[in-house]
Amino acid sequence: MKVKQKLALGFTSVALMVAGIGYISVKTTRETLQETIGQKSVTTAAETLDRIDRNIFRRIEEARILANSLSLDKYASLSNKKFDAMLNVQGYIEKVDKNWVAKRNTPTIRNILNNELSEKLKENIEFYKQRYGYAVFSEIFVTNKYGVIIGSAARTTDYLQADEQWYQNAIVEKDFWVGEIEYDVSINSFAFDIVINLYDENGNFAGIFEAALNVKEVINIIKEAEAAAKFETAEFKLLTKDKSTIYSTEDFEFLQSVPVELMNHLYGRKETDHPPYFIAAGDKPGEGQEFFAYVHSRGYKDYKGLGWMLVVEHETEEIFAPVAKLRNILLPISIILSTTAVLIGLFISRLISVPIAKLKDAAVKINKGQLTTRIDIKSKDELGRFAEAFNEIVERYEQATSSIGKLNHEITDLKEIEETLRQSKEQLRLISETLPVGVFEVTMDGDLSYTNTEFQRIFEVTFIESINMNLRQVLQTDSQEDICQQWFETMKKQKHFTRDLHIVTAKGKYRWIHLDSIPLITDTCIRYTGTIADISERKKDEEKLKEAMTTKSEFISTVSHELRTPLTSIKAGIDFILNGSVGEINYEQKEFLDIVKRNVDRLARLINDVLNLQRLESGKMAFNTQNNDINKIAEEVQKTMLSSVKNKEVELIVELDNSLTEIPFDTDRIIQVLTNLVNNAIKFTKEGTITIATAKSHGMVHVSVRDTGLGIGEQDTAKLFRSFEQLAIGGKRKTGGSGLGLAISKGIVEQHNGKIWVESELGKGSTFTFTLPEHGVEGFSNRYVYDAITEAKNNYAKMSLIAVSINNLEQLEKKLPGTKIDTILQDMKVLMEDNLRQKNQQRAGDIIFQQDKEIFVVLTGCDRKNASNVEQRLKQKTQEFLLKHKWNNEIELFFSCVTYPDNATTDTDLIEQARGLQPMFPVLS
Amino acid sequence: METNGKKILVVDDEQDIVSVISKVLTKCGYDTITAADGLEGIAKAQSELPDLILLDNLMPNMNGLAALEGLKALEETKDIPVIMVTVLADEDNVNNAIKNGAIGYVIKPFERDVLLEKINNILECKYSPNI
Repeated sequence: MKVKQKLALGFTSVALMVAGIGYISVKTTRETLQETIGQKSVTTAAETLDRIDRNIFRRIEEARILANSLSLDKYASLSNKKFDAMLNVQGYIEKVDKNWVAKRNTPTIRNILNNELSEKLKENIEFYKQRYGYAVFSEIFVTNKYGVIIGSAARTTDYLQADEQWYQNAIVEKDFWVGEIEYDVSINSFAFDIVINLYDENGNFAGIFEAALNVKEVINIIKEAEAAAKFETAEFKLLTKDKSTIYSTEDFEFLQSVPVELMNHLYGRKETDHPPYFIAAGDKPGEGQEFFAYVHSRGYKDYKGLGWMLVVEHETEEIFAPVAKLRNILLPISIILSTTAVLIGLFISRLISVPIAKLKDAAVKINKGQLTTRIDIKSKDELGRFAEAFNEIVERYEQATSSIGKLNHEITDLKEIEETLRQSKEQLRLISETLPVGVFEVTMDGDLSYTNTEFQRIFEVTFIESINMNLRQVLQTDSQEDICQQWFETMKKQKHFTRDLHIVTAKGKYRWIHLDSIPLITDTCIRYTGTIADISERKKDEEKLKEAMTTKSEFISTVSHELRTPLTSIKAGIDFILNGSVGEINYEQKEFLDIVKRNVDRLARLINDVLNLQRLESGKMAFNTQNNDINKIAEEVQKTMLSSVKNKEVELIVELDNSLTEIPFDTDRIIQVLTNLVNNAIKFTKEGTITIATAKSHGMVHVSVRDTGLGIGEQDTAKLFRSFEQLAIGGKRKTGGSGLGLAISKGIVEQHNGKIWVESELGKGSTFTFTLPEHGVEGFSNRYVYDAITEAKNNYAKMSLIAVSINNLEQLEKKLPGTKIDTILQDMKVLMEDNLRQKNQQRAGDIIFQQDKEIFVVLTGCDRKNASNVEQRLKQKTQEFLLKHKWNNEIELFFSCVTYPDNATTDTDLIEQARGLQPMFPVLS
Repeated sequence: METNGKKILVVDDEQDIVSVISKVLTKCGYDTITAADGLEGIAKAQSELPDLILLDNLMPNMNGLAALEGLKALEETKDIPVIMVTVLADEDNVNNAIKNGAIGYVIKPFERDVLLEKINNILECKYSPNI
């Protein structure tokens, strides 16, 4: 089947389903309705018939009461005695009956019809007539045990009742009997007999009391039920056991037979059949289908009923009107829906089948070898995408086919190529053998599969030995870290691995090597190749240089300290003399001593500067960074320096940008820088203005010192910030400076992540400017962290950062002044430093700095596990410290430890995480 | 010369410095005793119980910092105020001294008046150690 047909079929079945659902819903509704109405009709019929039975029972009761109250049994007994005494009872009875039937008015008959009993009976009939407006009991009489009338309200047909069938039936019953319905001429109505058997005091049968009950009462009950019926066309039928009609809403002849067909339905059913309702053709010609519900009489108490049946019938047209309405609505809807579904189906099937047909055609063409075939479907749906993918596949197939063609061609040349390959391999081997670097190739497991001569030389192994070795055996280092593990991990990620290693050769010789390795991915396998360079000589030189630098640094430090000691005696001595403590000195003596003192002071400053510069360069100078107002600092420096321009024609002013907010910096150091710049300006300015200005630009605060002095030539500006460079300005060197001031300033500013520079013009003046970052915190601290990360990166090592902050800083700041908190933090910092230096010599290179009420510990080359140990140790130490000073309840410390590259790879991120801005680790208590 | 009754112990291995400081202090009315290293300093402090100690750091036998710890560990000397007078000017050393109980830190070469003022302040105010 074609896709189109399949789709059409699919949509048609949907349409059929819609129609089916419509049909089922109508059917279900009809069934439900039928059941509801059926149940209801049955209930109505049952209730009505029940009322009829009860009514009849009531009348039976009344007859009983009447028999009792009138002492009918006595009358009967009395009559029986008389009759018993007669010699020829039968003869007498026959004689009287003959006259009775002939309607003769003999004295005996007259006597019977007018005796006391008859009178009483007449009274009662009258009573009922008056009470109900009609003769409830149409006939009423009493017989003795011989079955002859001994009293009657009216003249009956016969005198002797004993020969009647009903009489025979009645006397068999013990108590009472109810007869079938009959037409009573006397009342021109239908009636049925109620017979009460009478017994004498000995319990012997004495006679009967007969009362014919007018059927009108029963009819009235049905008529009431009719009136209450909901459906207009509801019809009631009361039928006897003998299939005769007692009552029917429509015209009927009394006791007429029920139509045969209906009769079969009604009487053909057993009482146990359910449901007690059905649909059949109407009981009269021309009528449509009718709905019949029926019930059988059940009697009441000891009245067993007469087997009557009450039928309620409805015209189906009326009761199923709502269903017809529903059908009328559903039918057109389902037709419309089905039609629409079929139409949509046809449309969609066309929409899909056309491109599919195109695809099919294209596939057929390609199969036939027309590889240039492409499908032209531009839609953006799945088919469109499929078509694109299809085109792509065909394209590749086309390429592959052409490649295969080429390959076939090439295979014929394979032997030639193999030969060439063998030659080039040999060539490559020869080349690698002559290389001055070690070359190796290893498998994924680290087994060496090739090494060259230089490799064998470096590791002191033979070729055979080497190719039987694993990389793990070769790369024996004195370091504790697992280099091989790192190597494998890097290779697995298909990354380049390069590293300087200090290895031990097979013969126990130490060598510095530089390892460079890359993964080689071929079609069949992954191998790694690499080179090994012997860098022992270079490393030796580097070590030497490092040593030399350290020696220099130590030398400067020692010399400077050693110089201070004699200076102390000299200075104290001169002060002592100048002070006049050892006697008066004359003017000339004082003049010389002043010169000596000035130079001693200068020497002391020089030593200080040298020491400062040395500490700046070696990164050992600690900075105490606090947020401060740079304008305030500028004003302070201006005030302090005013005395220096007192004797000059120089004005020292400030130009401040008042929009500046507080920025972080080390106040003392920045004052030092600014003082130095102002000092220089004063030194080189004879007259004019020196301006200290502040401004903001691009996230940096600019602080400048502008003078109208001599100015500096362009060629000299570069030299300015170097150590021991003092310019010979105007041909002579100004004395008093160490030549280190600007170098120190530069160092300090750079430690703040700022810059310092000069703009100058000879003869017009100079402007020295330095910058401080507005948000210096990160930048400043980053420096140490950045350096550590860089170092770790270069060595393929890790580094960790521990941040210690005060959890309850806000509350603490309310209790203690900021400087006090700083002092405490400072003490803790010192404590931590001591701890690191004592416990672990390897940690001597670590940097601890305090910043913004936080302490940071930079652990170089330290992985997570070691960092955690350090953290625990520091935590314990600080806790002891707090406990000792009884601050443990007031200061809550928060430790956090992060590691590069586990937690972050940049300095900023690492610090942020350490500061708990992005907490990653639970707080350890 | 009239003395004010206050006794100051000067501990320094540089004889020149000891004599200059002693002279200055004597001139100002203080009784001066001297010691040439940490060990001697502690011994003198125990026997003489000075009102104040000026302590150098870089000394043979026992350096100033160790001497400071020793002084602070001994019951009879632990309350004597100590001023460090040394060439070591870096924060680490200053902080270490303060942490170990030094009450002042003067960097050599010092200004005479600065030292005297510090001494005066401490002795007059009965300055008691407090962090």
